[in-house]
Order: sequence, then structure tokens, then C-alpha cells
Amino acid sequence: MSGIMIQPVQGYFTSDGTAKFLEIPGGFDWIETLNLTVAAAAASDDGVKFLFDPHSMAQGTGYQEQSTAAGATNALRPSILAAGTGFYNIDTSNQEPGASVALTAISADPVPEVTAATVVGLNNGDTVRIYNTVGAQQLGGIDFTIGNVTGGVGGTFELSYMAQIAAATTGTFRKIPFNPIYYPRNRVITKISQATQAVVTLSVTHGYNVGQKVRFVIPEVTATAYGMTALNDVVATIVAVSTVNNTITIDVDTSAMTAFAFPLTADGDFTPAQIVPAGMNTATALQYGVNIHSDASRNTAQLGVLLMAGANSPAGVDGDVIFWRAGQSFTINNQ
Amino acid sequence: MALTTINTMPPAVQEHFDKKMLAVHIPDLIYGFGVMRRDMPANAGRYARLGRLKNFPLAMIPLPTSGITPPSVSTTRTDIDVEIQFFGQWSSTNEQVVLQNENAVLNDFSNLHGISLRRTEDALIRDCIMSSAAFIRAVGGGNGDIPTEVSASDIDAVTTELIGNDAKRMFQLLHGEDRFGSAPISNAFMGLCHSNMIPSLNAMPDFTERASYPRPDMALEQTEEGSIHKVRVFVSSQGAIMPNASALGNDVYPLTIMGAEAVVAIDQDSFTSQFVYRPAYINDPLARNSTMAWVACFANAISDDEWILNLQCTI
Repeated sequence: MSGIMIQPVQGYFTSDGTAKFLEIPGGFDWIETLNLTVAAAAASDDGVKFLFDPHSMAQGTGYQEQSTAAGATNALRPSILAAGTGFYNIDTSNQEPGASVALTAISADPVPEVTAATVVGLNNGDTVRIYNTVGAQQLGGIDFTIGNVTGGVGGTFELSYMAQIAAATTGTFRKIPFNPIYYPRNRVITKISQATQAVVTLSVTHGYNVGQKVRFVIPEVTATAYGMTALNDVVATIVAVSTVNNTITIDVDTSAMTAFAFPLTADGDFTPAQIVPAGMNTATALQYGVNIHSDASRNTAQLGVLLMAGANSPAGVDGDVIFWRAGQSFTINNQ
Repeated sequence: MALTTINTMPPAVQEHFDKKMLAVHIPDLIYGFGVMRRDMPANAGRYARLGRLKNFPLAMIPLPTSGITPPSVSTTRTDIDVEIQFFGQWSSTNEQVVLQNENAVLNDFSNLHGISLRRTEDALIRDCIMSSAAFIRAVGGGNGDIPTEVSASDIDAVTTELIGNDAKRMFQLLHGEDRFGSAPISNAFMGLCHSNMIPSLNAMPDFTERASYPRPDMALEQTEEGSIHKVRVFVSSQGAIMPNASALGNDVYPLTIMGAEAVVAIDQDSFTSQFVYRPAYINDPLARNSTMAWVACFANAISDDEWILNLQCTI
């Protein structure tokens, strides 16, 4: 710090009941939040005020002052938040995968379900990288967005956008903390429909917009996989996207092409089918009223803080109004 | 006999600090080396747009003797958009450090800021390539992983793909000369990878180390490791690594192979990289703390996705 003090930053939001990321471009040395809804309500055990110092407190924790239950002293009751319920100091340029976690099964369900040694720390929408599997070897080294995370130790999650496969018995996965920092991103294909306007499903949340052009890379792995090699090297324009199904719809008729088939576990080493961003079809973007610069190559890395949700967490519960303030300050070593 | 030793009369000052600091570790910067540079004019908005037209078809049919005019042709344009973004970093130094440290603190810090600036620029280009470019897994090696270690057949697969997409090579042929152990070097694409790949590169039978070039002095930069078929390979400790991305969970090392004009870096006119020094008497009411910074515009994109491929390898 210098004679120029970095000013604290502040804001507020209405909680939707899920964890909330706040971008704080300058970073922070402290952050505090105030749950105005709880503060204005009748006394309860819910958290009112939260504080976090990333230098002295563990990630995911924080300090809390709870409103005391009706009929009690009406004073604020301090406590330390349990791991995973407080604040996370976030730098999305960090590409280091999380710790390896054993998986004990990948199901043959239409949406493959993974049973893991633990799913603690995983949330719907996270990305995992699977490897070292026994069975389902075709998934090795590929990233997947997950959903329907259930349980803790011995819990399960789904590979939300993966095609149906034969079951696997063991393997390993790691959580991938953040996307590669540049947009738009190359993505692995898991399914392509045979249709006049093909629907393409991608293994990880894609972020594409209507009007963007993508080039297909569809290798010939075996006689049947990937099948739809007629689409290899074709450049298509996206005419629709689905964030629910993580699909893009393209202006290419695949109805007469060989069916797309994801390789099997015995298919050995292969390069995954993928789409590669290839610029913008401005005419299509204008036709659909899309920002013609939505394809722009840009660095999406952010500094900020993730507030966990819950009655005793800084992001509160659905409908809570949360005021927050963060800033930088000198650190003086008193040890 | 009385003897005066350093035990009875130690030096009042126990050490001499050599003011010439030891070398800072500076990675070789390879990713910005082969990119296409374009300018973004000032006062022209946030986005730079580059366009590429699709070829007209061939006209293979003779014009009719009847004099009838054949149909006209048209083309389409693909636009590549790049958002101009600003980056920077600063440090603040108390006057006591400048006054009491033996080395030239501010000089040394300005050097560190310069290194940070150029390392950042190179790493951003690297990460842009890693995020967006197509990849192919090496399969020609024998280490049992997916991908395998790099092999000549994998290199050939990539260069065949690039040439098939009309990518232009970046280096001219190096003619053979009458020198023992040397070999001519093909006109070549550029290959960029992490220095951990060096053993794998050297293990390929057809790999020609730079020392075996017809004229080793024609090797570019100290980062050029050598050449394999139609690729000249440059290495850096700041090369790309994909942690735990192989089928067995090992780190993957992408070997980026690209032709000319595959990647673009945009420079913002009227805002070149800037070094900002604010002396303490301007910066601080008590004239105690000075600041030093760099700020710059960096904007990168894959300008032709068919002219660049990441060959994913393990080691």
C-alpha cells in the first residue's frame, strides 16, 4: 500500500438461495456481509453479520454473528463458520485440478451416474476430469460438467451431458476449478442428432451464442465411432443454444449422415470429437438480434469471493437482501 | 606472544553485499514470437474485428458458345472479434528500503516489472491458444498412456492436417551443407512446447538438434531446440501444461504447431506498454512511499482455427 489508498468496494444483492460470486477486481484483504432481511426480521438463529480475512482464515470458513432466538437475550451470538459454509477467495485463472478422488462406479444409465468415495465439495455445474478408469476408458482425460450431486461420502453425481455408455467399475476424478481463461473455448462433443438442423451436445458447459461459427473435428476411431465423419472439418453457424441441455443447434443437415456414436471402452487411444470456435456469422447474429461481438476472444479470468448460501452462511437464503463491503488494508505482523 | 586475530578483533562489518544482483530467472518467451501483430486505432471502440472471405468456387466448365452468361457466384465473410483488455501490476516501496538496502532497489524493481509485463503477454497468448485451438492426441508413442509421448508420426499427422488446410509455413528451407552430422531443414511450421518435452523430442529418431543444422547459427533464438520433419520446435519453462489430463492422470504437454497468421495479437494505438513510476514526493503526503507499475493492452485470438493444432503429448 502507498499514499494512494485503495478504496473499499461495496454493493448488495438479493439472494437466490445459491452460492454467490462477487467479482472484486482489486482483490481484498477483508470482506464483511450483512443480511438485512435477517436483521429486520424477528429474532432467530440465522446469521446476520459475516466476516472473512483470507490471510488468517481458512478457505470456506468465516466469522458469523447470529441473531439470537426469540425470548433469549436478543444479543448477537458470535461463532466460526464450519468449512464449506463461509467464504472462498477466488482467482479463476487458477487451472490446477483439485485432489484426486476415487470413483467406484460409472453407471450404464442414459445419463451416466458416478459413485465416488466422496462428493463433498462438489456442486451441480462443477467440472470434473475423469481418468484411470477400469471400463469406460473412453472417458479418460475428458472434462465433464456434473449435475444431480447427491450425498457426501459415497455420494453420486451425474455426467449431465454425456451419452450412455457401458458401466465402469473403478477410476479417479479431479475437480477442475475453473474454465480455461480465454473465451470462446474448444469443447468435446458427446452427442449429435441426425436432423435437418443438428443438435450437438457438449461435455462441458459451452457458453456459445447464436451466430457463432464452429468447426467440427470428427475423427474416425473405428468403423462405427464416431460415425458421423461427414461432419469433419465442416464449419457451421449456431442457430440456437440450450443452456439446460448444453446443446447448440447448427445450420447443417445431418439427417442423411451416419449416426454419431461415442467410442467404446475398448476403442483405445483416440482424439475426442470436438468443436472449435471459428468466428462469427454477423448476418445470422443480426438476424437473431444477438450481440455481434458475443464471439469476441477475451480473457475471462476474475478475482473475487464466493459466498456460500444458507441461513448461517453469507449468501443467505432465497429472498434475503445482502449488503457487502470489501477492502484492502495494511497487514501488520503481531506475532 | 600476543596475536591479534579476528577472534579478538572481528571486522566491524561482517559482510560485503555485492550490489550486482544475481540473474533473475526469466523464462524464454516463445508464444508471442510467431503471432500476427495488428493495430487497433485509438478511439475505435472496444473490439477489433478481422474478416476472412470464403473462396469463390472454381470455374471448371467452359463458357458456352451460345453466349449465355453463367450464374454469378457469391461469397461470405467470417468475422474474428477480439476484445481489447487492459492488464497491469504495481508495487509500492517505502523510502527506508530505497535508503537502507545495499542494492539499487528501484532499478531492480523496474527490471522485475519489465519481466512481469513480457511474461504476462506471452502467457496470455499461450492460454488463448490452449483455450480455443483444436487438439489432437499423440498416439504414435509407446508409453501406454493416452495421449502417448510425441512421435514423428504424430507430428506428420498434424502437419498433414495443416497443409491440407492450406496453412503457410513460417520458416524457409535451410539448405544442406557439407558439414558432418548436419542435415537440411525443411521449410517448417512453428512448434511451441514446455521444456519438459526436451527428452521426448530428442528421443525421436528423426529429430535434428539445432547443433546439427547445416548452419547452427541459423537457429532462431536460444529457445529453438531442433527440428522434426516439417516443424521447428521452440521450448520454454513457461510452456503449456495440462495437469492430470491424460487417461492415466498424468500431465499433458501440448505441442502447439501453427502456421503463419494462425494467431493474432492486437496492439492498441496510443497505448503501448507503459511503465509508471510515481516518486514518493508525488505519491505520498509524507513523501515516504513510491509506486512502480506497468500497464498494457493485450488482446489475442485464434485468427484461423484451421492453421493451428495442439498436439497433446505425455512424457
